[in-house]
Order: sequence, then structure tokens, then C-alpha cells
Amino acid sequence: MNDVLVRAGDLIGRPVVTLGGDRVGELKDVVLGLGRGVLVGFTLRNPGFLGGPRRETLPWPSVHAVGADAVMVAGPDAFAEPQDLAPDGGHETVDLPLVTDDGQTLGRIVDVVLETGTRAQVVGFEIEPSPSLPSNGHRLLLPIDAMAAASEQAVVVPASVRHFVRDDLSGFGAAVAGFRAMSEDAR
Amino acid sequence: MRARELKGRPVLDVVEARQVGKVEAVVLDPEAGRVVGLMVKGDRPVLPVDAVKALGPDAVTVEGADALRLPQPGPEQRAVDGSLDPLGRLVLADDGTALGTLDDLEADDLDGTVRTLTVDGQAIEGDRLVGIGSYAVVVRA
Repeated sequence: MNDVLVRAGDLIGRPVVTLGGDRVGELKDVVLGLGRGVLVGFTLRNPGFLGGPRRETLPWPSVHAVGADAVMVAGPDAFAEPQDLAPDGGHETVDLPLVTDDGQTLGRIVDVVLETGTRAQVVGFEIEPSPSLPSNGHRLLLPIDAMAAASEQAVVVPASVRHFVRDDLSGFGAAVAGFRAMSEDAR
Repeated sequence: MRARELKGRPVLDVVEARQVGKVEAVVLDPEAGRVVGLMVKGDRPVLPVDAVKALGPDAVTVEGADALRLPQPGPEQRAVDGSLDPLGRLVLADDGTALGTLDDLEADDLDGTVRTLTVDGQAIEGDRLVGIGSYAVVVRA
């Protein structure tokens, strides 16, 4: 099975389906926890054109798989109260500045990149680059690993991430792998 | 048995020589990986596989109309409440990928074990069945 990289923004509206085959909601947005820049879960809305927002959230550990056509969960009890997602309820990182640990602001976060499949994880951010970065005005993709730090003010990444910046998803998987291999070596 | 062939087949009580209904759908127990019964239109909508005398080419036969009964809690109740005919339903792999539409389902005539699911013309082993609900049939990726 191929693991596929997707922008979290593209997951919005995707049906949430139990392994029992029932549709129990739709994804509304992603929620990232502070401290390590990890995805803690999703907010939900009710299925359908007139579906309103739901109070319950979908914690990441309850997700069985994120696929091209559905987000799979074990059963209808996969949902949790918002405060159960993270101690502080979690935050969206969209709009936060992305700063290197040697002090350069690379840009403003516009989306989160996930690797999907039965083993799903956050692998990077998409940014609107700062004028100081050569980008020809394109949005850029940067890999992250568990070392990334985040607060409600900024997300900090190792300076070495500069070598793994890409401008489209097709080459980004290799960049993520390269960045992670290098991070492993550094430890 | 093939679910698509069974659909619409008369259920014949061979004691009274009377048709007591028509097969609407098979009732699946996905956890057991079995067809546990047939859904039949009427007041007593379930014909358990154990109560079938024969799956003939022109009729499903039973010995007495009391072979039909009310659904039991679990897969039977879910199937009847939701009119859950697996045929024609979306098939999702458990990695969240849509595989197509369920065209047919083949099960063992004696114990109902699901052998093959046919999805958009492709055969999928029956033991990959995970669940059936109002939205989709779910199979292991």
C-alpha cells in the first residue's frame, strides 16, 4: 500500500466512517498540540450539505486510517470532548510564523502536510514564504519531525530544514525522508 | 450461494406448497464472516440459514412458514432496520480507500461462510470482510 502525502486542508469534508460501515461525521479542521507540533486530532461537522459543527472531536489515537476517500475509525465511540484532545485543548498552527532555531523567519504557516494510510502522521508544513526566502512567490513545503517546537506564538524548526525545502508535494516525500535521516544521524 | 442470484427468488414452504415470500437480500454477520440468513419482505423478515431446506435454482425451500421469524438483536436487527442489502453498496478498504461497488457476494451453501466479494469486477477474499453499515461495506486493505 502506498502512503500518500496530503494537505490537511484537503481533508476537510472527508467522511468519517466506522469499521462497521456507518458514516458518523465529516472532518471540519485539524487541531495541533503545542510543544511538539504534533497533530492531536480533528474537529467535526455533521454529514451533508447542511451539516453543522459538532462539539465532539476526533482524537488522533482513535483514527484507524486517513485514506483518499474516508477517514476510518474503530467505532462510534471514537469521539471525545475538546479538552480531551490536549491538556490545553490544542491549537491550530495555521497563520503562525515558522522560525529556524538560528533565528530566521521562513514564513507564515498556511497548511499542514500529513502522510496518510494506516500509519498516518504529520510530516511537514506549507508556508507562505518570507520575502527573504527565494521562492518566486510560490508557497513552500518544509519537513518536520518530533523535534519541532510550537507555542501559540511560533513554530521553531532546526536550521537544517532549509536544505529540504520543496515547492510541490510530489518531491516532498523524499525531502521528508532525507530530513529525518539527517536528524537521526545528528542525535 | 450467490447473493445476486438469490435476490428475488421465491421462498417456498414445501409443507403447504405455498410461497411465503421473496428473498430481498442476504443478512451478513461481518464479525463471523458469514451469511447468517436471508431477508424476506413481510412481518417475519428473517430466514436463518439454518432453517433453509434447500437453495434451489427456482426457489428457496423451507419446511413450514415458521422457518421465518423476527430479527434477533445484532446483525439481523441491523440488517432489517437499515434495509442493509450489501449489494450495490460502496466498498471501503480500512485504509480509507474506496474500492468500488459491491456487485456480488459468494458464500458457502452449507455454513454461509463468505468466500468472495466481487467489487467492480474484481474478486476480494471473503475473509477480508470487516463490517457492513449504512454507508459502506468495509474490508481489510
